[in-house]
Amino acid sequence: MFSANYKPSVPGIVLGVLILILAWPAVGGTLPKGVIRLPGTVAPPLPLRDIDGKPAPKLPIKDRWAFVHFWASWCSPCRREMPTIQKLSEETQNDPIDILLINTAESEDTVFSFLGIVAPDLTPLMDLDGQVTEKWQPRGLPSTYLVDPQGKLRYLVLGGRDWTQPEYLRFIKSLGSPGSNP
Amino acid sequence: MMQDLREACNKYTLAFCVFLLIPLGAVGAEETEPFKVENQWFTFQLQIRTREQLVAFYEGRGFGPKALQEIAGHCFVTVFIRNTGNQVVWLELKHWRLYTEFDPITRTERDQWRQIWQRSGTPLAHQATFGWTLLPEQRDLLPNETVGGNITLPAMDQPFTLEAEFYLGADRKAGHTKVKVENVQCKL
Repeated sequence: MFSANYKPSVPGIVLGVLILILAWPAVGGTLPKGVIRLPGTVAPPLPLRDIDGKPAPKLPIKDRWAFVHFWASWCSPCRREMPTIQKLSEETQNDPIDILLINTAESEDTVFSFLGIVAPDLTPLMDLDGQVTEKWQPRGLPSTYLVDPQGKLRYLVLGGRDWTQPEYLRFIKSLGSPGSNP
Repeated sequence: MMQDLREACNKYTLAFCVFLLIPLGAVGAEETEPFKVENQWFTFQLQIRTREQLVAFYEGRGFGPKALQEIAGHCFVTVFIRNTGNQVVWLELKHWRLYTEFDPITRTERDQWRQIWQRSGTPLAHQATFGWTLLPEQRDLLPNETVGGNITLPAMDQPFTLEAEFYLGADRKAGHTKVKVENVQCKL
């Protein structure tokens, strides 16, 4: 692989180590607590509109991952988690990942008054009758699926997580990094 | 006490903690401590809700009078289970038994609720919300995973026993264990 006179440069080694650290969870290292690797079946569709009436992006999203999060405002862990998702969206605005929030079976008034306070920059998709959530079959609320750029379900995140914690942020950022092989 | 409950709920990554928090404000000192078992595989917690607590919760989510009447005709037992071990714990309600001193009790299962809601013309959104507040009929609880929700039975004033049997291991072959709770009483 290397020629006999190959001499690795210090910046090259540093860069390599940095890439490995960032990509490690997705390459196959330890996943953060509550994150489960999935076999990669095709994600169900999201025939929904957001609270402003705009259609949901169609999966797969070219060259991007999707963070598909199911929640309801009556769910206590969902309420605690939502501000950390807002923070995650700020931290990953330059990364190849789109955050899609799916509200399960609540009215626009309820969702608007809740998100307006805890996460005003996030625009939820409205599963008004809860039937899209039924098709995705999360194990509970809240739940998050990570869908790869080929539209396959790669990870399931159980329950509410603090996405501001370094292990989760590093994991999300690793998804689109070179060398990741989920 | 509310602070303790919030901290407890932090450990439970599930939607159903709202049931633990909201009704307490309404009933205060009348609330009894939940029944709790801890073993090497999981923690198991059980609490009975009053009819008023349940009706208030669902009414607050927009459920109509017909649906509330159906809910009021049932006893709701709220269950939390957290897998604290390192192997799969199987929640399978078909292996749970409820009985009074003399007779077995038949649970109202998820599919029966679906029929009740369809008969009464309950909107799909409310059916979905109600479904998320029921305990799953089956779940392979992974290490560190929590599940919670209600099991429901027809309203009754006699005390009863609940026996919950759990198989262990991904292939269910690592053994099984049973939790028995006696003298459970619905709060009508």
